[in-house]
Amino acid sequence: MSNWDLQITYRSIKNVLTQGLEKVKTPDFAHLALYDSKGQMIHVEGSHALHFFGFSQTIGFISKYFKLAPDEIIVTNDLSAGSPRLCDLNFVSAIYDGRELRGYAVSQISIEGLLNHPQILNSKSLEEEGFKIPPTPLALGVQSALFEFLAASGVSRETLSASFEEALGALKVIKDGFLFQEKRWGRSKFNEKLGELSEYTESLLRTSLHRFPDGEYATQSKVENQTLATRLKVRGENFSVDFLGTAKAATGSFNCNYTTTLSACFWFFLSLIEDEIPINVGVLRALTVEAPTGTLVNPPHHSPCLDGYYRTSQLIVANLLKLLENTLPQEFSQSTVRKTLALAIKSKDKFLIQTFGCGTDAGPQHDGVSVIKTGVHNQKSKAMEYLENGYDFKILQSDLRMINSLDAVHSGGRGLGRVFSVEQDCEIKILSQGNEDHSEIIVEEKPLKLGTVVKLSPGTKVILATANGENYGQKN
Amino acid sequence: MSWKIFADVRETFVEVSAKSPQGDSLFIRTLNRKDQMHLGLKEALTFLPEDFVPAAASVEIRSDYAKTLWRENWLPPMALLTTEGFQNILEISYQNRSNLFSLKSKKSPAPIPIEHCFGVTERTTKEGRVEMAPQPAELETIFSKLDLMKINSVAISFLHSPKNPQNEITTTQYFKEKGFRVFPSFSEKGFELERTLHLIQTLVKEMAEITYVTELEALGFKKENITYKESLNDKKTITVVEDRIFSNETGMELPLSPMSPLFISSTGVPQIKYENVGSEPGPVCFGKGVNLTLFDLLVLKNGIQFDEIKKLKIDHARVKKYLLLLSQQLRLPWESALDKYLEMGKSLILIEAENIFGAKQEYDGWMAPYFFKNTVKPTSTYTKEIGQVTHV
Repeated sequence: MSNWDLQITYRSIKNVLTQGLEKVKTPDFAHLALYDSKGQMIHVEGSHALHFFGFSQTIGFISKYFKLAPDEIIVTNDLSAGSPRLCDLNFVSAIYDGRELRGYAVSQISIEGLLNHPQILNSKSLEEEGFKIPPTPLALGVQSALFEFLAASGVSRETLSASFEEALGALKVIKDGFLFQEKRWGRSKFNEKLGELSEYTESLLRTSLHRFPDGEYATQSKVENQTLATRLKVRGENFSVDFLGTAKAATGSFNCNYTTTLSACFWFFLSLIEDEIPINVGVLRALTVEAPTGTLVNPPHHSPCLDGYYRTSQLIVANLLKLLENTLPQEFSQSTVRKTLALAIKSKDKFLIQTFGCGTDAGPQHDGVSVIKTGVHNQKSKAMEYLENGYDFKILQSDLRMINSLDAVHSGGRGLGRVFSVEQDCEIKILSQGNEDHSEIIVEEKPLKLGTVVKLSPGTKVILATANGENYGQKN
Repeated sequence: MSWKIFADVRETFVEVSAKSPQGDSLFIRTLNRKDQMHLGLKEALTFLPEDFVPAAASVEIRSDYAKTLWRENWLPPMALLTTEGFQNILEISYQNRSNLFSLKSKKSPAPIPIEHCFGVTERTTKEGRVEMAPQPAELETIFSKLDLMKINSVAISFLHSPKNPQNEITTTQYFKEKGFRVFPSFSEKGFELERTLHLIQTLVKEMAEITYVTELEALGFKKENITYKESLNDKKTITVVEDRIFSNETGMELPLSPMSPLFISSTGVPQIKYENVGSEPGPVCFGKGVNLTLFDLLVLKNGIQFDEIKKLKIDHARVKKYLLLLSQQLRLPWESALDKYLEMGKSLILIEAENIFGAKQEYDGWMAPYFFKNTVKPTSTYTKEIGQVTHV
């Protein structure tokens, strides 16, 4: 294939969404997506890959049940409509040129404080994980009612108002930008270019997947004693991942919503390319992910999924890594992926989730990297001052852990050591933990167990340490 | 009337436009090297006429020296003082990977190495109350270490200092009295890491300016007649991106340039990498580089020789050889590959300029002069101000 316009088309579309993202600053993070009038993904931008592939479900759901008028906006955080968590609010708007539907724009804002439901750390149903908004037209008066509903989380009306405004501003940028590009190229040529772009993505991903030898490869792991089975099937051009044999959905919240399962798989296989790849419908054509309904990786509606978002998503990646080790050992040996430590802290009116980087192993040619997020959870960490200002604790230390590397040829990366004391009654829970031997959280000299909720009183000191990377070699 | 000198100092070339007291205009271009960016300017000034008097001349320099230093991590020795327990703030940074899709973790090195970062036992609460003031004995110990390391620039970034700068002020005074150049963070915007990075940038920018001023003073120019403008600008809110390129006030930083290398994807699609090969080893036409760039194609297309730069021999045959290899992969005659790549480069530069400046802006030559003028004639914005120029 020799197409001189591909990169130009890609950058034009990417820049439309990048400009939209510049409008969104208030939430913890944000994602934007653009779809064509048939509901096919044109592009998605944002910082968290677990959010990339839920938008297709959102658009599918909304285009099925709503006929969006120009300027009409639907808001939802419903997991069955593609949201990864109840704190991820999707705003969807149709793009019209005159009276003709040309596509859909989606902006997603994530405000983790919206998960501050009384039962969040022990949730047994989706309703206990936050405040669910089924797909709702954002008509006059609705916004105000939504603010009132969401305010029960403790997130202020001002924060909500600013975030909504930014999300809607981003939608406008996407719509205007898309129509501008369509006009510039001419509608039919533009559509042709977008088609070629998705073919390019598909072919790039297929070429990468083609490295896997033909065959069937399977592995499994356990989450809370429940089986998570993963299988790769490669037959020529056909490549699929399935989770047949995975346990039924759990009553606890370590279920992994289907869109999160899908995104975890796509993150893994796209990461093997190691080059910039346009994210569009071509990705979905190149790789099939089958997650049986009613299982841990595609639970029924109303199943709680928060722990699964952090924990099971990483187990899926860990299973895929095991399969990589069996099929492409050379690729596997270069990977540095470890499970990310995720911690939730809840006080009466505040809720916070943090993920932490760790050290990576050294190799024959290099030292390890210190305090870095290695897996699918890769969002920027929050500043110390931001955390102290917004939450009820004081950070006493946030530093690199000590590592004994004096006699190593190459030193492993250093993990994070953080100490904080709480200033209000609160509860704490590890949502996910990797390398259990090395990464830990200690409360009053006792290690905190994964998934266990512990109550803390004011003045309690918490010590957190993420894994150091392994050294390589020994000096003579 | 005295001489007016305008110098555009970049990683690969230095371009000097000069106007004599009689109104004659001159243009000088020299080769530069990114690791010693002041040398190209120094060389260019030697080409000025014999009657040129530096002491009476005004010089305006526009350079991306500080930006280059920052990007390449060639920062001058400096120390960072933070609240005790947080001294590895730069090494920890935002904790995220630069590449969203990757199984291999990479992180840019910290702009100040760990061994130059020191914790000070002090604390200001989030309400702005000083809980613990820095102790002179501890500052004395740090001073001794810095003295041994021969470091005389210090950035100070204490937690919550914007709420109450007292501890930073005390520490600043201490080190100033010891003769250090001190940069406190309390008046900067943002949280601690953002403030710290901004401080370091300011420091680097100042050092870049000092380098030029010192060099020019040694050549007889008067300090008060020297103006330095750095594209690493601190007037706009700074955005730190993973590869450490900053957006700046004018948005001149485009992610693509004529020095961007060409490549063909694994599926055979011609593309341009959003990188810059720099001056060392430079583009293929310079004789050493192996990455064919847009610049090489322009040079070949227009038969450009850079005769005015004696030490630069443009190797057209080498460019053609590399282009032939590329065009074979694309199954095209090399002439077609050349034209198509140039057209593609121009379109991409326009798109990126639109992204930064907005779609309604008009793009004049200075942003991507090689493309818009299809030549490598004088590119400096200042050329416009002083009219038609003559090559020296």
